[in-house]
Parts: sequence; structure tokens; C-alpha cells
Amino acid sequence: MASNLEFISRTEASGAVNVSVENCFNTFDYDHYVINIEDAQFSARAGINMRLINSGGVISATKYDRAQLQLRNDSSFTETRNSDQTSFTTISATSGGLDEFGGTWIEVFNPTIASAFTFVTMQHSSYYDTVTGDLLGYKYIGVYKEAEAVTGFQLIQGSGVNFDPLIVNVFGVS
Amino acid sequence: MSYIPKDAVTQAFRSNKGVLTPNQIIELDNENKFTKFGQLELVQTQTASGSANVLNFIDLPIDTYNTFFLTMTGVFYSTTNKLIRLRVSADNGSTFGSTAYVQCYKQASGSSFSEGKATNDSYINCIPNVGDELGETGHCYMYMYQLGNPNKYSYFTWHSTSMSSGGSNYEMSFGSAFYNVETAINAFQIMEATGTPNLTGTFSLYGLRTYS
Repeated sequence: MASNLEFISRTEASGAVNVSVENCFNTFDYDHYVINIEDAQFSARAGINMRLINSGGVISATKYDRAQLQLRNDSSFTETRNSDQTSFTTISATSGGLDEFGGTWIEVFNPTIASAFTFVTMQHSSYYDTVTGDLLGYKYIGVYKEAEAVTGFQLIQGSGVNFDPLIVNVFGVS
Repeated sequence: MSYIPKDAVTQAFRSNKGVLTPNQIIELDNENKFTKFGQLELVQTQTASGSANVLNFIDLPIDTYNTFFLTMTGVFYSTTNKLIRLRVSADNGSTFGSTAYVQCYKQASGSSFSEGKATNDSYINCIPNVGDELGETGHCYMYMYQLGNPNKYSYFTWHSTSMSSGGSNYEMSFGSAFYNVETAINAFQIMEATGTPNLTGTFSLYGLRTYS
């Protein structure tokens, strides 16, 4: 079989702050997955955070590290690095308008290997400010520092406002 | 005839039931309900052979795909140190937007890193300077989001690697951009700002198929 992306699931949710996509990693036999956030709308400027899910539920332990470069056309780019966080913080963000989320492409490595950490890379583009017409981009790497099998993930609207809607697709990389 | 009639059960991607005839497979495939892998689907490959300044992708299947993936391979111009750029069209290539591109990108050239930013640019800068021969080319991949939604802006993220003229500098860039017009985009163009040198390279566009 030729190498390509293989569709696993599509989740469309509205009216929720936290949206979980469960059993998307462990159901199929891949080491490498792609998460494509196709749309994310909400009524307040905020970031979207991501937590992983294991057999015990959503993981909020302080085992997430990240390094992020924020790109904005109206200011200097900003490097942010954190260790021992409770989530992958601000994997994407938008100013909160209904038409202002662009897209987020996340790659997840080794989530189902019980003896390995789970690594992620991400890139994102969205509107940041409708008044000034500014752009927000992210380039991002992260690791979940627990050698265990991860079965899914949860996306969290950072300011506590409901997603309306959130559309996210998951693929395996064959 | 299938042993289980196709319509007697719910058919869905990753959940097809029964023994299906070729016609039923085609029917389910057209309904986006037949399980076949390879969701990064090739839309079109075009090769520029150095005989024109621009390369247009038109008739984009924006009703089928929400996310596109574009690769650029072995790209150079007939004049040294030109940038590879991209513009979009809402009228299937009759005209291409010449303003309203908002972009920011990190670029490395030799030992120098720089930030590129623009609020109302004339194009998206995909690849920094390339040379004028096969050993001094640029390569890039780009994701394109929301092209077909008339009520949303179109968004882009990309990574590139390239060599400037004479091999003087190895370069790379990565960035994000959007087209600051809410309209459905059905074509785009690979171009260069001065409009004179001719383009060489291979460009492949893929669509990301999803299932409800």
C-alpha cells in the first residue's frame, strides 16, 4: 500500500469548552498521526490548549513541555518555552470572530508506544485582530514526558467559552 | 448482487458491510462512504519548464476539500536571486489579488536570521531567493485552509528550504499568512514580482479528504 494519510475520525462539536477525541490513537496501528483542526469558532480571544488522554482519562499531570514561536505581522516574534505544564498550552488561537480561525496542523509521534514519550509538532495560522487586520501564526514543538500509551486527546478553549463549532479530523500516517 | 443489499445496512467510511458489486463500490465512493485509504489525494501536478513567468492552478476542487497541501520541488527562475511567490484568485484565474496579503515568516539566509512581516502585501513569499540553475533551487510545502468558504479568509502555513545564486547562501523560511478578503478562492498562481524571468519546477496540489 502506498504511503499516505488514512482517515480515522472527524469530530464536530458545539456548546462545549472541552472536546475530547477518544480512542483515536489506540484503535489503529500507527506510530504517527495527524490532527487537522479544520475550524474552531468562539466568541472571545483565546488560545486552544491540548491534553492527552490515556486509559485513566484526560491527563492533567505536570508532564507537558513546549517550545513555541509566535509570529505576528504587527510585532516582534515571541519565543515561549515551558516545562512541566498541565497541558500543551496555546497550540492555536484566534481573536474570537466567527470567520477568523484559519487552520492548525498537528503531528503526533509514538502515542501508542508504552515505552516512549509522546512528541508533537504543530503549525497554525489565524486572524488575530479584526480592527488592525493582523495575523497570528505559531510554530510549536512539545513532548508529554511519560512513557505510556496515549489513546486520544482533548482540546480546551482557553478562556472558558464554548466552541461553536469545533471541527477536528484525525488521520494515521501510513 | 451483494449477499447483503447495500442499502439494507448503514454504510460509512471504515464501516462497509456486505459483499459489494463494482457498481455499488463506485456508488458508495461517490457518496464518500466507501473505505479506501489515502486521504491525501492528488489534485494535480504541474511542471514549469522555463517557458513562462507564472504557473496557474485553476478549478480548485473547493467543494470537495477544506484543506489543501501544496508541494514545490526544484524551483528556480531564469534570473538569479528571485523569490517564489503566490497569489490567489476568486474568479478562477481571470485576475489574481494584488493586495491584502497579510504574512509573517522567519527566514534564514547564511548565518543571518530575520523576521518578515507585512500587513498589505502583494503576494505571499513562499521561498527566499533561488538561483538560475538546477543546483540552486527552492523547495517548499504549504498547507492552505478555508479556501472555499466565501464567509472566511483564506489561511496558509509553509516551510521552505533553498539555495541562493551561486550557492552563496543556504536559506530557509517558515511562516503563516492569510488573504484579507472574505471570498471563495478557486485558483492560485505561482509568480515572481518583476514578471520577467521564467519559472522552472514541479508543483503538486493535494486535497485532504474527510468524512462526516
